[in-house]
Amino acid sequence: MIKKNTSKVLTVTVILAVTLLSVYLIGSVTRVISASTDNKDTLIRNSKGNYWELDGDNIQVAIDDLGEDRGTVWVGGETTISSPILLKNNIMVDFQYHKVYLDGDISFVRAQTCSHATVKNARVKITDGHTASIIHLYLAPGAGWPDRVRYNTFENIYINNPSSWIEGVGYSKHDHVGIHLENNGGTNFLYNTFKDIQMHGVKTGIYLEQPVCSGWGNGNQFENIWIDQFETMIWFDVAICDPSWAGAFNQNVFQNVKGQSATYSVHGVRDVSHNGNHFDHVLVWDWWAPTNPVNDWSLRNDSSRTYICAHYISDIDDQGRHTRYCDNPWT
Amino acid sequence: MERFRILLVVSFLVLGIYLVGSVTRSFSDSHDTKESFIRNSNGKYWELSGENLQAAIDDLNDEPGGTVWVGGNLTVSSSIEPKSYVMVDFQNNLVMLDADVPFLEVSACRFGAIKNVKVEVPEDYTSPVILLYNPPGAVWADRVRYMVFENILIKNPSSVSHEYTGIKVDIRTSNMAINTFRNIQIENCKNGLHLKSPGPNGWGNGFQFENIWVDGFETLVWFEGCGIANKDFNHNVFEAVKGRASSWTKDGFKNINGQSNHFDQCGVSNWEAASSPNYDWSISGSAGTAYICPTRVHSISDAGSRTRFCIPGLR
Repeated sequence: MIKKNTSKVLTVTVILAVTLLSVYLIGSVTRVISASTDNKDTLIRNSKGNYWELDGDNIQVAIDDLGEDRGTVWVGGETTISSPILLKNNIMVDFQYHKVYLDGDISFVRAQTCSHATVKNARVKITDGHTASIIHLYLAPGAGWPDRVRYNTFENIYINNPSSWIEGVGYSKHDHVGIHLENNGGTNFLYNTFKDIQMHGVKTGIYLEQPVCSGWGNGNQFENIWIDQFETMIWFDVAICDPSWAGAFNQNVFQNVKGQSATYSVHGVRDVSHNGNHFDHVLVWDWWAPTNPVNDWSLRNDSSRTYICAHYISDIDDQGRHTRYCDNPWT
Repeated sequence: MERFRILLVVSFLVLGIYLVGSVTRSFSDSHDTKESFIRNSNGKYWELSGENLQAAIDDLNDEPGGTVWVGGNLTVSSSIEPKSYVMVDFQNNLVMLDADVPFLEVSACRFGAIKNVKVEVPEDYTSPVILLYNPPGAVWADRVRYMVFENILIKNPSSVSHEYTGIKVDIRTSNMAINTFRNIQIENCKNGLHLKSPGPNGWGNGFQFENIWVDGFETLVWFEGCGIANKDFNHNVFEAVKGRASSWTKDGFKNINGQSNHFDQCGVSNWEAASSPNYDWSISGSAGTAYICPTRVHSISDAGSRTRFCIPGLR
């Protein structure tokens, strides 16, 4: 009798389990495929097949979830982040043209000890008083060979402050940096690519900073970048070291990088230093606009074999050696 | 009774496995998943049609912005109008135009993108495939800017009809700036690129035309300008813009105007195929400090001032 009842219970349990499982799975599919607003495309998801709510902090969770497996994170809607997105090796984050608000004076992304990462298709929104660098590549003092930052790509990123446009005046000046490569004495930045990036009203558009005589940043590519009103468009802020030292920023390419001068512009391409940096189709636009300009182009005496193909040059201070121009009707 | 019970259990198991199998099929079969629809990053889906593509774009327009994915081939009979902050990824699908209208009519928008599409034009097509224009009364805020057009193949299967324009930028009034065209191929056309600024009220500056291949053309790149300094087209970059001449070819880079336009790794091949050519390079009298680094020059007419060439002795 007990055996018979056990068998009946078992049969009913199996039937119920199978039925529930079927209904559950069908229900899941129906929800994912047909619901217009409640599906995975509007969430944060990654290529491991995991999903998170649209909370900016979950972007980092989705990245970290990929571990060393490498893969992609898709951001399915507008987010707000309260701390910088820390890139990891071999991951891609695709914002799919959605807005990212920075909650606080923070960077949008930070690459430190990171290779082969990609960030693309983001509209980064900042507010008045922002000072942090938006795209920040960082090498700590003593960062070794495995810690170098290389082969990362930043593509299709639009940085702006919605309140900065003043009709009839232009973009008000802010104190942030668009793209910042900061080497505090680590090994190197190598072959990072910045492509199709727009920014407005910046203190410095592209800031190559190296305050110590150690490490280098070579072969980075800055391509199709629009810096719409700036205090300094591109700045090589590099320590002055022994002339025999071959470190700092060398053989970097700036291709189709254009800046629109504002009344508050002071420098265009500033203090180019070291070896073989290449400026092709680079333009500091309307250098008549600044009220207290210094130079639209300046090259330090420790620069050599710089190549410049500008659309025009208004006021250059070239102390470099063997500077090469595609044509030089101005000097 | 016992047999009936076993039969019942087996039936439910079979049903369960079937349904679970259906679920698996829904995700893995390419014919009935959401990837084969038009969908957008608002999480919405539409059947594949030109009208629905516009609906998916408009659903994102400006606010909140986002991405539209096109999951299959489309037929388009009225122009698609891109919107600000919206990227449309055609995922290498084919768009067949079945009317003589532009595929894209781009006005009053910024920071959007059109990517990865093959467009096939119909017989006797005369419109521009991609048209950027400022409507009458356009003001500064309306200017088309920061748009990206990338990986676009324009196919013309006709062997006799080549009256259309690949890309036309028609300023009309106000201005346009900082738009990018990259990796574009255009087959058998009248004009590859047509840059038009017919009046003194506008200009087009800071465009980037990169890796453009025009296979068969009457004019490869045509600057149709007003001839007024600081109007027309200025400080634009043409990088690896190349064309292969055909029997009906007349001009390569025609009537270059404006200030400091840069041409790097640009040129025309197969020039000898043209039956009655003019020049592969001509620079108008209103042009200043054009920079030309050509792959090849066959015949040049340079009325510009301070034209710069990267090849010594070319001029």
